[in-house]
Amino acid sequence: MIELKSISVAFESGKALLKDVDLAVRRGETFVIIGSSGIGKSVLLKVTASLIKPNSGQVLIDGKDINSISRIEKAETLQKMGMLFQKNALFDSFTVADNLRFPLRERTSLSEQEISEKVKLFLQYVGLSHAENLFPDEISGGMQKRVGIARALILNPQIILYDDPTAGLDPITSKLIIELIIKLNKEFGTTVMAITNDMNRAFQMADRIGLIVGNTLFVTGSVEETKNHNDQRVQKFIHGQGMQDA
Amino acid sequence: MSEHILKTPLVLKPFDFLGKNILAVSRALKSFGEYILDVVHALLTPPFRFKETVLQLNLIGVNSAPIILFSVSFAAAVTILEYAYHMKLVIQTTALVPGFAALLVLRELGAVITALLLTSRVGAGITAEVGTMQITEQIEALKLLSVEPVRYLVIPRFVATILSSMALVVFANAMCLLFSMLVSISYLGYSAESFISAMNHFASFKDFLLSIVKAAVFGGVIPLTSCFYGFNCKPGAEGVGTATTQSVVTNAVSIIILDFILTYLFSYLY
Repeated sequence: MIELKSISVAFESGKALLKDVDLAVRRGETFVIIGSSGIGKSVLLKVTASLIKPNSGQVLIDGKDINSISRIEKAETLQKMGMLFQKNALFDSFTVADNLRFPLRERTSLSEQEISEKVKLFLQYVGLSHAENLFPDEISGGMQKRVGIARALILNPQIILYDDPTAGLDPITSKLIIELIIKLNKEFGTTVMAITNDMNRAFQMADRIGLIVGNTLFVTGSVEETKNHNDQRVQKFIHGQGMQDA
Repeated sequence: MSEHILKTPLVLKPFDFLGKNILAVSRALKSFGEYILDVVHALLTPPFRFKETVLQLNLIGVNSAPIILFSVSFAAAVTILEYAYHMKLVIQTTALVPGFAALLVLRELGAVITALLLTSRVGAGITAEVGTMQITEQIEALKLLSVEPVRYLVIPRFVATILSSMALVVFANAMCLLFSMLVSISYLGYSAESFISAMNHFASFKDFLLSIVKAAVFGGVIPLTSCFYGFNCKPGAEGVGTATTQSVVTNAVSIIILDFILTYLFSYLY
């Protein structure tokens, strides 16, 4: 479903951020990427969503290289994807309901009534029926995340990318958000690629985990395999120890 | 030894400094060139976003009208008073004031002041809005929905600012001439008829039309520059502030330079 082949991304200065990253995420799988802050996790997710073009390598979605297909094919491929951005990326001049209406108006031919019904349904899914007429700056961070999740899911995508879905949230809200993500993923049967710094949340949602270290990603396996991994770098990251010596 | 002492001072590395700046400028020019190509492509190919354009026409044109008309009226009044004072001083007559005032209003004042006010009111707002969207990942959210940011954000503002600027200059010219006439009547002893008659000796309909051409050019530059700075905004409040300042300065300087170029070109038509 998602295949990254020899992805390399460098800063403008030429310094490598990611080098020769290979990854294959299976259909219906939840793959969680962990790693220190600023190491390139979000960049890798945005490369997958074709928001950042890699310096080299291929991003294959259902076998198609997203960076070398036509504009129309790309739009069709992107329609299979939803993304929750780290800063939620809600359109701040739109109400909560309009944030959900926007993708439907842009990417579907549904009537206004069908759109309204779908928006109501998705607001219900994320428990925000009462907030439909509020603007993003009038709701809490946790509520904004839930709107972001609803917007990411509203086009029924096959792939969802979660960029640090619990960033800036308290532990209780974080847990609730992950539970919501797991529940909705089961309901919609989506393939998930997520990144987080929070090991508890990673263990809570992941089928498989990968650690970015030293400019590349190595897959550490399932939750159990990751917990018992014999690589020192993995253990240091899991236990919150510095990775400079690793 | 501290690090800064070990570094070669900037003055001793002029080629390094020059090279870096040339590279930065060439990168910015390349990026602006690509952006303009995107704008042209979006402008000439469907889908066209009429709803957003109408919304921007209201925000840019209708909402800017009061402040622009208010400001240009006073600018016109000041111009008349200055003309009258200096003409009295030098040639001991104010007979030429209406004609000169009309020429200045139609050829320069109406279009340039309107454009500079649009720069500060609309241009700054566009950069701040697009810049905030850029740093809060809203632009990336648009891209993921296959909504081209240039088509969705730039084109409606581009079309709306051109149309608004042209319409505002028509009204600004009218207000300027009206205020010039009122000052001439109350301060210089002209009647409305004598003011219009004196004005008609110098100014023609061509001056009025060319002022609208200027307005269209200025109206096109403002949203293009403002959106470009917004798209290239650096993170944080400081990033938005810097982008907005740079956008306003670039717009103001561009308008003044373009005004010179257009005035020079139009001089062959007068």
